[in-house]
Amino acid sequence: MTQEQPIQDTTSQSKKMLAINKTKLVVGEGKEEVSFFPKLLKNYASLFGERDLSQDFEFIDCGGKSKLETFLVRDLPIIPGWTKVTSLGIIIDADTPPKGFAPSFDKAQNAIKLMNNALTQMNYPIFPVPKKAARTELLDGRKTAIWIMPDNQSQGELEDLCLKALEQHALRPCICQMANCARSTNTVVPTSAKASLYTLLAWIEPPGKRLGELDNSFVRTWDLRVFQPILQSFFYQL
Amino acid sequence: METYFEVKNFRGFEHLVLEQFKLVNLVSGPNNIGKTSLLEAIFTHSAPKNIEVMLRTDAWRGLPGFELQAGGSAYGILEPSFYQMNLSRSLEFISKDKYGNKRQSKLTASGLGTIELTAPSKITRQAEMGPTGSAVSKGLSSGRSINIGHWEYQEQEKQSRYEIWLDQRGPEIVLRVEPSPALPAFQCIFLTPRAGLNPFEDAIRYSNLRRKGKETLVLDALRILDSSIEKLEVLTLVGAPILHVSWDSGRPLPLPLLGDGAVQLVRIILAIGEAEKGVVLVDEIGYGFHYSVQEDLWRIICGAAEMFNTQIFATTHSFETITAAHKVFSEKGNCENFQYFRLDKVENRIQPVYYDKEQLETAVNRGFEIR
Repeated sequence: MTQEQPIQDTTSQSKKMLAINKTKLVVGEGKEEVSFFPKLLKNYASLFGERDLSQDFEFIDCGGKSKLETFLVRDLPIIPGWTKVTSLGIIIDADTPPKGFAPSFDKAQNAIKLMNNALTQMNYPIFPVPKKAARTELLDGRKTAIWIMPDNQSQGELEDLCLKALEQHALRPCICQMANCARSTNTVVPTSAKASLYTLLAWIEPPGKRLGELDNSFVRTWDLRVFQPILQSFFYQL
Repeated sequence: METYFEVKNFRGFEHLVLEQFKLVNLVSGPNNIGKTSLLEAIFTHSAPKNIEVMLRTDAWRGLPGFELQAGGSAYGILEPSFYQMNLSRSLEFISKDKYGNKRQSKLTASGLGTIELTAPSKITRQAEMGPTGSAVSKGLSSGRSINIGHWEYQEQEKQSRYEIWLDQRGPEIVLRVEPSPALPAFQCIFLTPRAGLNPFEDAIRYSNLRRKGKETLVLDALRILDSSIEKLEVLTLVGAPILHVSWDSGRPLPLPLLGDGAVQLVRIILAIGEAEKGVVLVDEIGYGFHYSVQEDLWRIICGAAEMFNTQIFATTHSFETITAAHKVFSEKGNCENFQYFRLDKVENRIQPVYYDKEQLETAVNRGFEIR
């Protein structure tokens, strides 16, 4: 996570401040993802004896896929500490507009190009534009990589991977039944990994936790091998 | 009004270019990035022919400035102003106003002349600066002298050169500039906590403001902090004219007895009025102010700056100060009068990061660490 410190200032209440203090930065779509990734990296490393990268990365959300370009062009370069960044990763979902892997990858690629235009105007170094997903691109000591959730191929989102990692959980059949029941009413979205995952999490003690708030002991019970592709081809390469 | 400013080889700046100055400019950045140095650069360039202005900023920092230790080299008095204290390259300032008029000043240190001192000495100023930085020559005699450098000054097509001499007259060292510097290009007032207070100067500025018929500005400003204040006037205290504040009952109190915020606010408004069509530099502008009054503070500053057409450059480490300025200048529909920027380090060089209205809005709302 980004380093957040209380303001030492004359203020009515403490706020958390956002700054980049590391050289590796991953931009995700939403708050849940960016707070889940460090947890994933930490527990994966501990289970499989890999190097713990959770402290190597800063994670910042762009406020949604539709805001990716605006965020990279207008906001990211003005976040204090941006100039420290030498490795930039972008993770967006395939199942939000523009839907599908290819349009999503094009969107991320284009956003990096536009960001580079802005960086050039600001007299900042630019970043390479990845030609393929899950492949780091290197330019003048700067690395970039793009990952389209869930697997650089199919429709989906982070929650699809999480559900896969919880395939063997005792509650899964119940959640499937619940999903089937909900779908039969024709009043809900046809597929929603998010809905299924959070229904499951609602039944876990303590109930109702968000992805980023889950206990490490619970995450370690998941089948984290599901995340191996993104960890090995994306995070460990950046 | 200055819109462009370039600094070369001054303090921590090897080369810094700033080109989006507005009427009110707020600068932040991490410690030791050069915020105060930027103000010092603007201050020095406001009276570029007057070496004493630059040495005064050294003295505020606690550097020897005009004080020389036994065995020291008088030549060294210029060193702190130069990038990496390296005198082999000239330090230079270039500014442009909104009409494109260019002013350029360049200080070059000359040969390694040394005045050997057997006892601590004080450099006597050839000129004494008034509150606005203007100089009054005292006219000094010559003696054993060393030339420590020269200023080259260019304004549009007009060029001039000023030699800087140190004259030794017994135990006394005299700083001399030839020809005697003329009045500065514009009035520039530097308010920095390091310089300490000068109630006498404040009283003079208040009197000047009163002559302009604008003295109620100061009382209005003070009432932001204490609405029960009735009156502000110059009274003598032990024979010295000092601003006094009165309430509806009780004796008038000298202004310096009030809190830091009240004193700072009065000094800022007085400086804005004094430096009409000039520049006011305020180091740590939020110092002493409770967060709840910061928006009113900016409304008063904005109003005064517009009234006197005085350009403001201020530094801050306070998120509340930045947020309040953004809010006030946005609500007034007056964003074209306000520029916020941070100084940041990019690959070992310092450069500005400008925030437009939308970017500052995002930074404030998402809590970017822009202090």
